[in-house]
Amino acid sequence: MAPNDPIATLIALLSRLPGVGERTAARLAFHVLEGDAQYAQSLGKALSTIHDDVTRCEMCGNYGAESQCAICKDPRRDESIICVVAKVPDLIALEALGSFRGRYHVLHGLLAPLDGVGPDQLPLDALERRIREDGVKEIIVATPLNVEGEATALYVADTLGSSPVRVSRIAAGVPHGGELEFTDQVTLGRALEDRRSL
Amino acid sequence: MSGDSRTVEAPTRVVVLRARGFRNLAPLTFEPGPHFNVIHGDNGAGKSNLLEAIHYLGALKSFRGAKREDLIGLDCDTALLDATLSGGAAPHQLRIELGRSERRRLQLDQKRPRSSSVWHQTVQMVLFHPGDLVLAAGAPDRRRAFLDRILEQIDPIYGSTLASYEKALRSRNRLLKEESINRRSVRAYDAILSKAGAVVGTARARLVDDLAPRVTRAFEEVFAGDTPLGVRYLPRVEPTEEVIVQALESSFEKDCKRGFTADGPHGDDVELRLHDVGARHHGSQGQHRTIVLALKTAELDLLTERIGRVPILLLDDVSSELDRSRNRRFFEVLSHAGGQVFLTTTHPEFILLENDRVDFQVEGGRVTR
Repeated sequence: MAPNDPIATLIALLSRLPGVGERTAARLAFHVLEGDAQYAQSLGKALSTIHDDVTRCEMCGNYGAESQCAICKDPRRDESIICVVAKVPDLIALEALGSFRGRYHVLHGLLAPLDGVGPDQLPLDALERRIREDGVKEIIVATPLNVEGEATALYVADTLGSSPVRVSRIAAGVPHGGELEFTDQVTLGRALEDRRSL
Repeated sequence: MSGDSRTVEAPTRVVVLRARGFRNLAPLTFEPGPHFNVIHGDNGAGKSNLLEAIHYLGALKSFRGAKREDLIGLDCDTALLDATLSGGAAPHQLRIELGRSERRRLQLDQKRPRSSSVWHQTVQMVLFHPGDLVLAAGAPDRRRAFLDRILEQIDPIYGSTLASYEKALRSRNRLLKEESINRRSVRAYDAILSKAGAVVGTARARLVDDLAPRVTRAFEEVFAGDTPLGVRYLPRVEPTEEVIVQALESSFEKDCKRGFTADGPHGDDVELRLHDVGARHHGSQGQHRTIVLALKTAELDLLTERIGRVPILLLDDVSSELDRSRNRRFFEVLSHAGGQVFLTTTHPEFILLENDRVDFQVEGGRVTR
């Protein structure tokens, strides 16, 4: 790569994005270069201002334009119930449901000792403070169903064990509309294990 | 072995294997015979590389513990294995691409497999190579790995449960090495470990119950073991959720001092006893070899019964280790099982087989018939 080669620089930067290899990065770079210049400028502007325009909500850690996110500001949301998620895309997925009317707490990570992430790196103090101060009655832990997600859920439950708040964990099982025969076996095994009475 | 074998399908067989850029092998289209395939050549010619390529089709890893880069030929950017396997309802098309910088690409019947467990359920193999002597003579982890590899092929969720267990264990051990240990952080892993650990330990114990009589029989009949061989699963703690969680709780202080987790199925072993002495420390090298072959024969028998078809058997430089009469009996058993067998040897005359045999010569990475 020649130094100061703008195409090579763009490709190198793009290839640092998750899921983007060298080849995809080149395809994207040439697509931008050979396409509409207006689009390239808009993209560049959006990228250059995203860090200034977006901030983490002081309450829950969600992204927003102001120090309090739209969900925390909304008086119609039930503040007695908090759903704990690992990252903002998980919150967005739950919001898309439209049925959850409580609030969130975004951890921006999960306990992962192998990657050096301990409880001090997660905003758990802030969660405890919210529980004390906001009259929270229930915590739903919606972290992923893998080792890190489970460990984090168990840690949160243990931390809150002495407080009167009810702590629940999202269920694991067969997706809605899912044919049992097409469900992967780990999920199916877990659904069977976590069965409920009718 | 089991005369009343419940085999319903034709044995799994490699019909054709194409390899490009794998180790020192020259571009290759390898069409083995349906039964015994004797691969001979001098040391370093590439026999074991060919066997490794075949084994990779099933195990998706090198039996010599080689890293991905080491499997790619010196002048190549990628290694490609492309194979057609028969057995089961319809032939399977396997494609494996190993790159130096990119991720491994797998295709099973033109599609990316949903998980490695789908792959392991499709292609079953049993391997014996000289390094396997550690199964009898080595540390317990080798015997646990032997059981785990079988379970991955017959139990669709075993592999992911074991992976969870191992990750939780590594996490807990990391926490135990920290200067100020956070009890609550450690405890978060106890529940995961006891749940996954109970599944792992129970599955292994049941497998050994099923395997043990087959091993004992093979040891006596095929290898004319002079003394009876006893096989038993030795769990460090009873594999139930309650017992494991209790053990983790009560050994917390000790775990903190030693900096790792002592109790759980990662400390289990398979006991092998000749008469009344442990074979691991007291058996001779010849006995160890025979024990390992008996374990492998039992594995082949059990997999055949559980899967309903005979797996592919790979033998790396084995028969030079057996005397003539055991050698002959061993091949009789394999011949009776009816599966496809690949053997490497420096001395093809040691392979006491007259029928159903195709010989291949490997020289400087080239395979000729």
